[in-house]
Amino acid sequence: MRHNKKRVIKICEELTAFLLRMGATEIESKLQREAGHYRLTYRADYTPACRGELEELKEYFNRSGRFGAVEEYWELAGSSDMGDGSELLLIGMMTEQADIQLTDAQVELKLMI
Amino acid sequence: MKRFEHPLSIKPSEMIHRVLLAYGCLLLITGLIVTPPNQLLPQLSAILVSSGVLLSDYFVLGGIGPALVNAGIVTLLALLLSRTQGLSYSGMSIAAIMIMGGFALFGKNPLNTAPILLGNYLFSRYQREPWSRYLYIGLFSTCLAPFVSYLWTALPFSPVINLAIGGLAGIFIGFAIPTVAPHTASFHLGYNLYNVGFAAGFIAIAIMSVLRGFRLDSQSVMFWRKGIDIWLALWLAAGCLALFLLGFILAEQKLSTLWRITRHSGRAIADFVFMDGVGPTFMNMAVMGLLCLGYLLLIGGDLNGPTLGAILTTIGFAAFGMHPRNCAPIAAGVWASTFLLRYQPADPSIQLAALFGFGLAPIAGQFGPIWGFVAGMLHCAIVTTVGSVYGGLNLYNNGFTAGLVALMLVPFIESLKREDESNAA
Repeated sequence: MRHNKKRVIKICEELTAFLLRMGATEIESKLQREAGHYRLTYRADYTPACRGELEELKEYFNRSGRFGAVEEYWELAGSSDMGDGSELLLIGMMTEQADIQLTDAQVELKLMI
Repeated sequence: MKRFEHPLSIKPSEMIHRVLLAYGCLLLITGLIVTPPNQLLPQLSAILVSSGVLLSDYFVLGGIGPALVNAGIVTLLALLLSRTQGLSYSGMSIAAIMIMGGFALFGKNPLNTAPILLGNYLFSRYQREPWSRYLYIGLFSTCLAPFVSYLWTALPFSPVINLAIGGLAGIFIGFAIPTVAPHTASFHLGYNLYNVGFAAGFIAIAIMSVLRGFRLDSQSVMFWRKGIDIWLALWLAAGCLALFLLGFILAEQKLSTLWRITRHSGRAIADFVFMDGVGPTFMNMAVMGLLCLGYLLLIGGDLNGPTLGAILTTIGFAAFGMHPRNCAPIAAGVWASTFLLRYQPADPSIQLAALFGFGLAPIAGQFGPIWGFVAGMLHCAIVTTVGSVYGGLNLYNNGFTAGLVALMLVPFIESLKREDESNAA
């Protein structure tokens, strides 16, 4: 995959924008570089009104298959301050594995890229 | 005996493959039925050797039947390529395959697209990655196929050398566009759905400038079939109705799912198959097809290779960003601009501007119908002049124009927004 580091940076930007839009007041992030992939962990609080959108996030991630859209559009990740659905779908396509844990007060995202 | 498979028991990716296969077969079989057998090969040959420069209506150059046969062959080859590369089908697959069939009614054919796809393949080999990662960009890149045809016919050398130079140019195009397309997406921030058309436009300008340096120039042509054949309109409407019915069954007879699609802005990448499911997506595609046909009937337009191609392209992109709510303001803007500008709604380039202007649908979806209307008006003004820059050799002329409009308009709209105080921190 070309521009690996740049892609990971853009994913971080996009997820930060998304969590801020979800009303987060505190975001913790951790990026680990491992053999052949990156592991990204995000923890944040959110406003209850946004729970529906966070649940929808599970729909966007964890899609197995080759969809062929990533190479044309990967630069769109993190390109706006909206953190909206279309860019999250793009991240879902760029992610090998995703685990999303949602509690009443906090969301935890674990991605393998 | 194999039992009847209920549509709901078929996986979405497989269902999309079958629908695209049916689409390709329908084009091919219809073309074969309406063409007298003794005329098929000569008329198909006329299409294959034409330059494909905008606007080369294959309904004029080869006849309706051979044009549909050409579209069917191109569609089925594209589908075969995506299948053999193991791609899973989604909204983008529908857009990529349907646009191939659409533009094979006015510019693409199996011969002039092959070198570009070879270049795309070589790019993936050079990157040591599977071709599947780049194949859809490759399919969209065939919008510059007229360059290949043009060099085959315009160069002053022997046919073999002309073939070699045209082929090499195609390989270069196929190799170059995957490097440019991701960057152009970030220019317009996903507000132009025809992103590769935008990328290809820049490459086309560069190549055309070089060719003009060698005193080689291309001029746009105007082969345009007037009028609407009733049988063709009914054929298209029947296809849309069948697609709607299939979508309705797949959506478990819930029409409300169709309305839910319109909540998306359509900004790339809005893959409706992922976001709302295959049933609502098929219904949306069918509705968009019928609305496009209705628009042409309303303005007294024509149903020929380019406009049918535009409708098929819109149906495809109705799985990847377009829906009635974000497209209507664009069409209204293009139509209204004809009262101010020197054009008529039924002028060939304006008919195409209205249908292909839907590439700007995300602007209406994100910023509201008024900005969509403005985008449509701007698109109409620019598209009529920009094609001459590359001598009509970029088939996605409207895609390039839409990119320019989005590039100018989106930063302007965003600069007018006031920061929401609750999110100001």
